[in-house]
Amino acid sequence: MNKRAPIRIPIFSGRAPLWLLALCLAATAADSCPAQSDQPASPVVLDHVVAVVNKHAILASDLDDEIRLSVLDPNFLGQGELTSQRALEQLISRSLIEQQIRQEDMQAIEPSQDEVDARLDQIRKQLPACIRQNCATGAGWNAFLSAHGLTSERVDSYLRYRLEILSFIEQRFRQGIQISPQQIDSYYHEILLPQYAPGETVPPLDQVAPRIQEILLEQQVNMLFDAWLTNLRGQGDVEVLDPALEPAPNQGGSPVASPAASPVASPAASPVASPVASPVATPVANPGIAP
Amino acid sequence: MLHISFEGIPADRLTPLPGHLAQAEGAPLTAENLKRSIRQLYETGLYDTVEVEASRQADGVSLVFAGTPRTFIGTVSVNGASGPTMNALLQRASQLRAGTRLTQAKILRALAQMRSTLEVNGYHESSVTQAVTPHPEQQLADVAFRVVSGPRARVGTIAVTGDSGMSLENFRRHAGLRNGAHVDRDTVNHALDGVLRNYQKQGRLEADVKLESAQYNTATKSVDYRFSANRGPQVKVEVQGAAVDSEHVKRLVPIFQEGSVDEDLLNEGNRRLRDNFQRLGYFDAKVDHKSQSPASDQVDILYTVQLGPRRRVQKVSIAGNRYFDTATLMDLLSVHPAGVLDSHGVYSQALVSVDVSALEAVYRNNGFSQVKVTPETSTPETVVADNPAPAAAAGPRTAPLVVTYHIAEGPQLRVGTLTFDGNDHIATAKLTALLNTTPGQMLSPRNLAGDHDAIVTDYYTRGFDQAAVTIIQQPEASDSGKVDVVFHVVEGEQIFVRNVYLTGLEFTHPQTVARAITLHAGDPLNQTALTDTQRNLYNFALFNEANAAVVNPDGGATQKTVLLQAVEARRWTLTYGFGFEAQTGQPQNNCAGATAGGVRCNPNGKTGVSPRVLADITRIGLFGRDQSISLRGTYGLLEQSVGIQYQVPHLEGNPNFGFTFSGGYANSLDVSTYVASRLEGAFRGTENFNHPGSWLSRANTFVYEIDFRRVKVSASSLQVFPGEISLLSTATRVGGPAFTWIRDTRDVPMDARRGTYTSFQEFLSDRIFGAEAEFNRIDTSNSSYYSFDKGRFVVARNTRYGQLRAFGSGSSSLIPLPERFYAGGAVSLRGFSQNAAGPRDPETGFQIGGAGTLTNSTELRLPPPTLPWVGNTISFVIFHDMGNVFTNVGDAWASALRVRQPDSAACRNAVVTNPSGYPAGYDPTHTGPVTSTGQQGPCSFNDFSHALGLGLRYHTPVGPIRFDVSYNLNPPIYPVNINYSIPTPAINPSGVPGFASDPYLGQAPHINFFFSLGQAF
Repeated sequence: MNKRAPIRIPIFSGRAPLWLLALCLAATAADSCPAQSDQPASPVVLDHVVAVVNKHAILASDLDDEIRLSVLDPNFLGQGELTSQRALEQLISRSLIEQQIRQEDMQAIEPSQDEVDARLDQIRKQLPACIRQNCATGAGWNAFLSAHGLTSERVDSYLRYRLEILSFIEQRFRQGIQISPQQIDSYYHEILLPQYAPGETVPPLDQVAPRIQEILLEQQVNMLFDAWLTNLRGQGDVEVLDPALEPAPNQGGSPVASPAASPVASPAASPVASPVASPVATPVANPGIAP
Repeated sequence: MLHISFEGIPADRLTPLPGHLAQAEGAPLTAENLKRSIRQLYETGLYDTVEVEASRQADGVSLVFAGTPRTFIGTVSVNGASGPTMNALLQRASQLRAGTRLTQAKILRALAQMRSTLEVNGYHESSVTQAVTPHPEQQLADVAFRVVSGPRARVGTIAVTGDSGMSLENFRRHAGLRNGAHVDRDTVNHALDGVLRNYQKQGRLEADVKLESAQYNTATKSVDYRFSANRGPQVKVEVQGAAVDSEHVKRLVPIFQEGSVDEDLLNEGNRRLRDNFQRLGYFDAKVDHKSQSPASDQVDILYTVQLGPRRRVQKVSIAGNRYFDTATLMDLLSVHPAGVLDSHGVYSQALVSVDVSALEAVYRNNGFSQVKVTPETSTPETVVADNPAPAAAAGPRTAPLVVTYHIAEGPQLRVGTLTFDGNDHIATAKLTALLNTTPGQMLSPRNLAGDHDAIVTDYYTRGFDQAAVTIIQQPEASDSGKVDVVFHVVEGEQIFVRNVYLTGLEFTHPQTVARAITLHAGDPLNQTALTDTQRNLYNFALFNEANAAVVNPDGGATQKTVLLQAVEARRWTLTYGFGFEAQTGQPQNNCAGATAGGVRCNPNGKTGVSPRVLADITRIGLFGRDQSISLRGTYGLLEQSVGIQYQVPHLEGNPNFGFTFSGGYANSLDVSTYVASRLEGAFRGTENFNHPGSWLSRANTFVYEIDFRRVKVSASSLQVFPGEISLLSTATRVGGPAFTWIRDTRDVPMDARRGTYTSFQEFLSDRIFGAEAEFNRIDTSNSSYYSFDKGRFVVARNTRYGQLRAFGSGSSSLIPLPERFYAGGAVSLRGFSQNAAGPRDPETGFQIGGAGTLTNSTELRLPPPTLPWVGNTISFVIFHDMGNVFTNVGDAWASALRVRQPDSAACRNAVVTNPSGYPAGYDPTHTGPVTSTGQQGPCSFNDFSHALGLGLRYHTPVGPIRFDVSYNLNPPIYPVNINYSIPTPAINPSGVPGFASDPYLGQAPHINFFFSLGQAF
């Protein structure tokens, strides 16, 4: 196909955003561009298709975008930078969910601007990386965005999109789940109580029952969601075109194995969990449930 | 300056996308536009991968959208597999669909599935290889699979686990797994079915038989099977409280059909039994069941029936209907009162529910969206069907049943305004013209659904294959009785044909099929035209398959290639068959021989069955064109023939013109009088009017012919006055032009309910064309069909008029016997046996045909009654046939009102009473005139024969099977002075057979019956 050998810009390792490179190529003032652009005869690959999900193309620039936006996700704290493979898995899962939303024509789940603003406010106030840069102030927030190659519009649309997906999952799976008193009782006695040391004060069931109910509800939602996503992926046509992005064998292509699959109980790297405040923590991680 | 170019797929193939990319040439380069542009290109479906490269040029930046072209599946062929259908089976198993994307994964899957199919069919050592032939210019690749089937496996060892209750040998026998038998795809299913059937015969309806494994043994080339079989308990079903034979129980209780026992099926049995008894008049029947297991190996199911009194449906009525008249609604009901053929009527709760649904549906379709139908079943204690618990009995429970459907119509909604939105490419006026719904009309969901389909279909025909239409109904604010209707159209992209790629023509010339292809490059991708093209290709009868596929069907490209894949049929075909005719008055020749053999013989023929075998060998696709040649033969008691036919059904591909050359030889016994032979040749041109805008409707067909035939009557078979045998048995050449006009507007030709069928045929036999008999023949027929009482009854009529006028001189003025008119038989005058109407030989009484015919048949076809066991598959016909065949054309109309044979005394007197001087000196001094059918005797047949009859029709998917019985009110009498059933005495072998040794006055029979397929006309 290609008679020439174009230079592939290492977009995942470099911090320079792709659009900047493109703009530099377009600019006539060569001295304003990074060093890579000083090769007028060599073609540069600006973007390409890396995967396809039911005819929807995922581009290399989408991966780059996802990696940059991952800074807004507290789930990656301490896990290093989001790898391109994991980013692709997230994008694939999200694309499947998005296609399902369109297919089911669920228009009512679009979040309001107030909801988006509230979530943005949470991030600016609670995201550790943001706190360090004093994001609560306008100047700090702008500096944070600039440092990560983001714009406020991009962050706004990203949060809107995630809220939309979260809302879809809530609407699709939470409704109709019934938690019986027996399940709450069973959880209290079989899981919660054994985590308290002998002699430690144990909260009465009545006090923690609402919280347990919420936890069990989230578990049910996650279970249904995982099964649904696995099914979507099984039925769908997912093709990864770039061999370097194929998931490692132990990482697997299964959305269940992927952190992107669990919207609530496994908050890490979830495309749909609240990027800041995961609404519930597992009782295992937090045995001392506050009444 | 930004320059854009494309690599991998040329820009013209992407048209019109290059001009509509988000990143336009000359526009500022942005990352977002680049993303959108790549996605736009990828969504065309033409790429496997896409990337965008940029390089700085002297005058700006050059962008190159480069990609790997996607390859789509072209033809898929499978060859080499053993077995007549295996190649086709494997092709289907490959699941490689033409036009879709070809990937290595698909080929691997196809190979796996084909191997699996081969194994299921017993080929465990097969090998399948594939060759992919790319056609880069079309982005297509043909896939050819080559199969070496290898040895076919045989049935090996059998192992059975579980409680089968039978020996291994018995299991093998019931499973049909004969040791060493070939394995095929039905082997396992047959085995499972066979064993289960055996269990079911034992009443073990819960038996469970499964295949656990099937291992191929390479050394023995056999498959070793392992089954699990558990016979389960014996299930006995008993019905208490009513007499039902066991076969009927098996039909009504579904556990026997399903082969399993569960509560749902048993409850269904309750319902079916109850409905069955209700249909028999036990309208209060109640059925319950209980099951118990007296032993571990036994389940007893006892249905308890409380029949209640047997009653009749006295009346079914409808109340509250204002919009529809009662008769219209009554036609919709399944419940109906007792009648002549049904002494109890038809009633069941299930049928009442069906009636309620039918009544509500018809109202809703006429704007009554709030209609409510409440059935009421009035008995001495009024019972509402929805609440079957009756009040206390207040009278005899055998009182007749009265069913009333109370209708609360509610308001009728009408259509307010009709509007369209989203129809950017088709004018609203054009779409409105497609609608049945109009403002002010009642709001009919059915009409709206039809309108929806019409709009969508119209969009499809214009290439909008993703078009979707939503109907929005909004109550009008100012008028609550009106609803505004909005047709919301989402058109989607309009798709055009890039090119049409036809494959599979190995022997057929491409020009032959060119006119059949109604889609061309540049046209909108019209789904209807695609279907028409397929149909046109099938119409050639040259192809076993004619498949159409769109390349890249799911891609967003707006120019698409259409694949037409034809699979040529075998060019040589041999067909053969067997048939028979059964009727009274079957033509009977060689009376002397028959009598000698102990069979009675007379001019009225015999009641009998005539078998025949048929064979036809045809070669289609002559010279690669739509032409065929066939050789066909018939051998039967009444006819032996052989003929050859060369046919061009579509002259130069024109669907309106065709022609045929035919020739052959036939020996036939259509009339008892003689056996005729016919050597003939004909050229026949056919003109149809299939094109829209033709000057005649497509109901018309013209046939132009030039016919030549040499007809001869076998002298030895001719049973007429011996003095005329020589003249009548002379071979005669008949030839000349013929013209036939056919007009057919019948709705269903095999069983018409409305429309007409008219045929007019003119044939001129003249010396100019080399004929030895000169005459003009007109034969015309008209049938009409009228239905009434909502189409339940049909009156059908057929009238035939024919005239023969000889204009030659001498022998050429005598119309040969086989060219004359005859009438009588299953599709003619049913008051006579086959061709037995009309003039007869004055001395022998055998039919000699006439020069004119006028007949009329009228039928009243009754609606099928609902009868026990056969339902409504049988109907009855009352018919009246009248008419005759006449010596002279002029006699036909003059005889129309004559119901008695004229001067019948002359017929009686014509019987020889004093045969002195026979045979020498005998002179049958016929008093009649000499006509084109010879000298007439004293006996006249110039009257209209009338017959009344009753017919039975058993309706089948291929048309009705017919049984007609007729009673001829005035069958003709005729003298028989020369009795051909009396053999010629040995002492006078050249003498006249049976002359005056047993003269008598014969009469055609009153009663005739016929058994055949299809309506009489």
